[in-house]
Amino acid sequence: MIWKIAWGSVVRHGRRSLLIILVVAISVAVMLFVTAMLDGMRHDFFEAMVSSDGHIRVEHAESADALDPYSVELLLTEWPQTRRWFAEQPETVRAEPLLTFGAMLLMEGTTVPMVGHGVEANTGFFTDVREGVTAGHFLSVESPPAGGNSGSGDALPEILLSTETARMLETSVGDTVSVLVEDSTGAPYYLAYHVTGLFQSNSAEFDQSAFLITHRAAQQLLYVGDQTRYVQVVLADEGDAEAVAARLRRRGEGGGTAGGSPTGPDEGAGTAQPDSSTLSTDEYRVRTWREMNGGLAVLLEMFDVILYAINVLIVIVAATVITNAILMNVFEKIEEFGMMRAIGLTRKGQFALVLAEGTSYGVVGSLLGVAIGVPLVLWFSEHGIYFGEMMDSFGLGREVTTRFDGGRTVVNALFGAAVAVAGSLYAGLIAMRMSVIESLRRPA
Amino acid sequence: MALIHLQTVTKDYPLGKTTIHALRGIDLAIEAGEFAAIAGPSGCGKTTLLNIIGCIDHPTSGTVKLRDQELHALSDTEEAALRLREIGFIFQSFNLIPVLTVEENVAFPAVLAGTPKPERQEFVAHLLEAVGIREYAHHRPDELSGGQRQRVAVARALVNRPSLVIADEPTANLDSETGDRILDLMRTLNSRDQVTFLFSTHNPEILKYAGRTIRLRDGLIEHEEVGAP
Repeated sequence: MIWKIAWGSVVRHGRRSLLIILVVAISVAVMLFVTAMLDGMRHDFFEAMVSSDGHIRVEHAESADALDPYSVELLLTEWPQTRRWFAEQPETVRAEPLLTFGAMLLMEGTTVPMVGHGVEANTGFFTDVREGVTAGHFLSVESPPAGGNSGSGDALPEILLSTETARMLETSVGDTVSVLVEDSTGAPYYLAYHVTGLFQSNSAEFDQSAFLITHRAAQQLLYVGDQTRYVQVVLADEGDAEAVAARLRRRGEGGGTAGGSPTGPDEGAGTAQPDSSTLSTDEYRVRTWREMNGGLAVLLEMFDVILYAINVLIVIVAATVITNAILMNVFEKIEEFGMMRAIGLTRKGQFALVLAEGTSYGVVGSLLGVAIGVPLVLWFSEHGIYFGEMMDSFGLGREVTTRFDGGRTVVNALFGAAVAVAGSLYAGLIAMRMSVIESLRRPA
Repeated sequence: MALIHLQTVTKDYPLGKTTIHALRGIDLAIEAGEFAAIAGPSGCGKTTLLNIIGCIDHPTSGTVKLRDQELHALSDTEEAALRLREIGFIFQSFNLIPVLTVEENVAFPAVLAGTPKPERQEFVAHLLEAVGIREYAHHRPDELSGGQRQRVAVARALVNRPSLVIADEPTANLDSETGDRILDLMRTLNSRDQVTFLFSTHNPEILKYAGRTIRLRDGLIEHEEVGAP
């Protein structure tokens, strides 16, 4: 009967109830949407990071201080062994070489400075490029490499350009473009490539500055034999990156081989037998995603702080509105409460009555909030929210997709109901403190 | 032994720098089964006296006993329990819960008292029959006339089988014909079920129903009249 009285009061004060319910609903919907958006942002960030850099990157030891990050002097020679070593680690999902280099794209008098990425055709990296192919197709597995450093060969190797670059060069799928580099001998050298596809990734910056060719084609263009710039590794759990990287460093410091037969993480490096493929930490360095993207990781942590701040603000505003509205209800019904107390309702019973009213508002408001928030989250998870260059400049892509999470939805709904209950606590206490005679005499 | 016994009860209300002496030393005993009226002009202390007897207000001095239990010694929760089980209230302005039906309004004190549902339903039906509003059991208060609402209030006051029913100007908001009917009903319940009624009024016409009339003036009992109607 307490619930019936509480619910009856909700219905009786239609407009005020609607206001409270809307406040709760909007609070829940906003909390749902904001958390889903920030979660999506974090997810997209990790996806983009894993897609381009992986969780661990092995590179030449002097890369850190190099004036020219794309110098052909700073390449890894023993990378296949390193790749094999990673492949044997249980945490590894994939390990691939990436040969990045500076180049100029030439097309009928137009020259564009770019960064070339030599990737394996079936690469698991650059997924947003693969998924963002707008014309033609991604690099073929059987893509013919360039014919050595001579420029000869029956078929042209493939190149993948962004739609932005294609527009600048006034080229399209099926056309031929030339790539000019300084090869390992220090001489300028160029090769012609067949434009096999156009893409639009989630980063305008990347689209304006990058093209893709196969790893083998890049090696031949640069005339670097079987060298590469990076070995990039994706792990099943990003949290294992430090441990796996440390394991590799220990092997290097002990003179073991990064590519030799693994002896297990706990076995001392001293027990490993050096061989011709030995890599020491003097020759390469290992960086984890945190070390590579420290600034962005801090940015994401800042997003968490912003999220908490937004939620706290929502709670304060909602609780204030709810408290005041329920307080008005209580003062309006104070004589009714006095009558109930006179016929035997206890102070606790009266408090419970007000809380029941607050809970009714909270439950209805939360359900409405979920009904508003979830479709919004689902819609934007499909269509994304376009933030443009502002977000892109932070390295977070142009578009953010929200991420739906059932558990989080339930938590937010419960939180909304809890805010309404908390908002009714004060009103309940005020009502409870009044004596029967005060309540009966108080004008509504 | 008297059901209610008041000894030198006073009640003062501070009003700014002055004090209003609502009751100036009341000595009164109400026997079980009485049908007593407290009469007097507005401001004489009728409502204050009923509130103190009904345990919803406290005297400034003096003692109030229900049977041999001193009311001032009770805690807040014990007072609520006493009001629930021993005293029934009928208010001048009916004071029904607007969101509940007639049946639920009558049952509300029984729900608070934890009366089992079958027993509760049976007794509520009996009371609605007794006060003549059974056909309105599922109506809400705003669908009833003033007289019907006061009948609901009478039924509600009786649902926990109280020792005493206090009615503060029960006919003040009713026309004279309806007021007479309500008093007839109360009188019937008193004589048939031996329910003790104590009601206040300033209407001399109503006093013809009272078995005993206690006249108040300026917070004191002026005189008492005894006589069955």
